[in-house]
Amino acid sequence: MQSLTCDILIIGGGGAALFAAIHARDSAPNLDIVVASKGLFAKSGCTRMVQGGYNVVLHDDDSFDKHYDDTIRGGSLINNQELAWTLVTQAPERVFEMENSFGCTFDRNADGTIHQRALAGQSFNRTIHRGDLTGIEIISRLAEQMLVRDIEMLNEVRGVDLLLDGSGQSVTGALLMDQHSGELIAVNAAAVLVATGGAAPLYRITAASLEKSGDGLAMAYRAGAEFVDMEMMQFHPTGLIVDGSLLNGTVLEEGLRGAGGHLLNADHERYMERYDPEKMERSTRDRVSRSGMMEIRAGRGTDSEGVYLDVRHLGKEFLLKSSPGMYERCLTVGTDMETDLIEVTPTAHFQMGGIRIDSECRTSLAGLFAAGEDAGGVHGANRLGGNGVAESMVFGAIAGESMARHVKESARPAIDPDRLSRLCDRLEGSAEITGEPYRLKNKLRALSWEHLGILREANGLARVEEELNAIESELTALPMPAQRGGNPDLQERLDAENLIDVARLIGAAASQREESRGSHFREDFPDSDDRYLVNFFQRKEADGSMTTESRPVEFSRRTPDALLGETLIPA
Amino acid sequence: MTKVTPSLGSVTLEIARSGSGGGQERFDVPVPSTHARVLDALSWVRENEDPSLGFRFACRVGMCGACAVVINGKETLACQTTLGEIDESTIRIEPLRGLPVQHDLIVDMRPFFSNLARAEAGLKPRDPQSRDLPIIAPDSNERTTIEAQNGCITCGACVSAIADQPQVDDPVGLAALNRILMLTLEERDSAGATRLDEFADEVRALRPQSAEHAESVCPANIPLASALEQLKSFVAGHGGDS
Ligand SMILES: Cc1cc2nc3c(=O)[nH]c(=O)nc-3n(C[C@H](O)[C@H](O)[C@H](O)COP(=O)(O)OP(=O)(O)OC[C@H]3O[C@@H](n4cnc5c(N)ncnc54)[C@H](O)[C@@H]3O)c2cc1C
Ligand code: SF4
Repeated sequence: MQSLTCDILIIGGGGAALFAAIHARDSAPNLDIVVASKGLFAKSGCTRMVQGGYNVVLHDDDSFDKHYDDTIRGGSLINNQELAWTLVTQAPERVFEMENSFGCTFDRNADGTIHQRALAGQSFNRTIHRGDLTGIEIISRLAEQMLVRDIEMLNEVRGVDLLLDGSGQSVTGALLMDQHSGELIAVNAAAVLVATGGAAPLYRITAASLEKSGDGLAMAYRAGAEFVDMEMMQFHPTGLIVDGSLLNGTVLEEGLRGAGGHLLNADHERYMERYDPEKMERSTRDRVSRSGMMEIRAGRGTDSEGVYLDVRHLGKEFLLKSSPGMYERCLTVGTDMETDLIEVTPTAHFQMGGIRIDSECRTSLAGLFAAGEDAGGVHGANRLGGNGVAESMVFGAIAGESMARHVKESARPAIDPDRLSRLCDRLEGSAEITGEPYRLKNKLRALSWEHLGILREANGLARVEEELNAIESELTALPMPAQRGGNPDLQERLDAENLIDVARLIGAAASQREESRGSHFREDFPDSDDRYLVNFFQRKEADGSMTTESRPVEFSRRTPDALLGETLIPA
Repeated sequence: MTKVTPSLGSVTLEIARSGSGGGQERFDVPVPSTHARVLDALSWVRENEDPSLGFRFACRVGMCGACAVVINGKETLACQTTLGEIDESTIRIEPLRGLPVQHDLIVDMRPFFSNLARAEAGLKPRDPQSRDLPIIAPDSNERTTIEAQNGCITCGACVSAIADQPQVDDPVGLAALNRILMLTLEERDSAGATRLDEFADEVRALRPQSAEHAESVCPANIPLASALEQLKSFVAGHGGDS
């Protein structure tokens, strides 16, 4: 085992992680910063896959209040109101920085001013973008800034577990594993950021980058951090269907629906008429996904268990101009948007729930910080398109500065050696590589899709609990392999273990929310219920059990009454 | 675009292995669907035949460039190459050339990133404190060029494609040079053409044919030949007005 000491350890290699590293370095140039990423830094994760764009108030006729109200309404009122306010008010700062300091170029109008459009649920054209492949621009420019700052990066080195001090109350580093050499690295750090991008790949069909497996969440859970809103998982309505391919579930951007695309069932009916006759396809993501799923369940789906997205009437010229990346992507699966219907399915997209943070990205554990998709509370029950990448930039930057301050003010506690050796011992073994983890992970993803997904009900949720235990027993019964390095099978196993922890959190919170709100839909409680204007907080107790506790939403800036009268608020 | 529907049967993969002995290993892989990719075939091998097979991918939609490999001699992204579009009876898959192999098809990208760092391939801002968004006329000459050259997904294919061609020692590479060109034309940058000084010899030495070849494999269709041409003219002292 290798030992390493630094001031700040950042776990993750997406937008939130990189922004944190850059801001930590710029605000305190003398600190030792180490970034460890499971995939290649900036080439893994979902920031790179961002399509539609970034929501930001820039126009004189727009306002923070409008963006804020849209965000809270979109979240069905249970967002953490302080975090949401931070998101909205800091979003412009990060855009100025990206454009002026990092050299990002978002699309311009003919007169050279920035172009903004609206994604679903917005009252103003406030999404900046670069065509329909915005993420490449953002992450490429961030990556360069990392490189020119010479920040230490450990590539394809995964976080395995957090390390604690002797009291068990402070995070003081992490155990990492180099996936190529198999070497374990114990990092002693004064501040640790988890920015591993959530757990959308828990589901059989997902849009997210597939190396993500809720690692940061699971590590924080095992270390005792508090979680919020874990029942809230967003499904995007238009994942491309590509049978028998890893491409299955990759997203076709929302702009296509916004521009007037139709959704049809197998009988070619515009089924949104049944579910949201007023907004039709322009309804919110949660509702459109659910409607699609209901059509499929009712037997009105296609042979591949999907529905159709029809954009033929928008014309080739428009499609090529507004969605060139999507046009191209469809062509590669033999579908020409101009002449063909596109077969789509709802797909697991984004995790709203996560580690509870305050406005400084501090978690309930001293020394542990979270940002981006791993953090919960900003989006409430449903995230608006364009608020996700904004979250990663805004809170990534905050986390970087906040950690730099923390390091100056606090000591670096020593690592509890017992915990460390327990964690390391577990990873020693002498077995052959079996391939079993692949099977078990697939089983877990199918189970989650079925019962923890878009439509939930009590019996299914109870079944999940049992089956998770069964899958976990099978997994833990597998002997550890002798070969740690260059062993994707072992990585798969660790992924599956983490996903099980996340699935349990989702399942327990989803069972307790006996109503439907935002992306959480209970078939046995299909309506919203004011008694559930609460958030569920979860943590692991000292005896290993999980507690789930509800607390009323703090309406510090807006009361529910102030937002009534809007169609998104259930009467 | 016409779509060719191959008969769904099986394909033979011949995969370069790095483990004990190295060499090529053959696998017969069923073709699950018309649009299945080489990436799907690799994944099938891993899940069904050899769980230790090393290959890299992340986004699966051609945006991250992590799955760049050499297929039947040509650099390409495994996620963007359908099994049906390959004519040969065997699909030979090798890691990128010119970068150290880490595990089977996975190469060490650190040298590639070091070159971007060496090229100082990040904006040196003129006005970092500004809280205004610059007015950027989309149709100026500089902007049109920058836009045309933008979109590199740092896949390393261009490095691999010309790894066997005569170049200077320790080349910084076309991807980095392309970024230098963009930054040289960038009005928000304060370093201007100075980044080029260190790499002038490389720009002179690189043959247009090499850049053309690299361009032909670039999955992001970056016009690398035109980048080289413009860089050559900068180095010759009459750039900037192209
Ligand atoms: C297809 C798609 C399109 C999207 N489009 C938009 C959009 O238009 N607008 C918008 O606002 N949002 C969009 N989103 C959401 C947006 O991508 C996310 O909100 C955001 O990118 C999350 O950033 P992050 O830094 O938290 O995580 P990510 O960018 O996902 O990065 C996570 C990183 O953590 C690493 N990691 C994982 N596990 C470990 C571990 N154990 N150890 C070390 N590192 C680890 C990963 O390799 C990766 O580098 C989209 C998402 C998808 C999937
Ligand atoms: S220029 Fe093209 S081939 Fe070279 S790294 Fe960039 S995307 Fe890949």
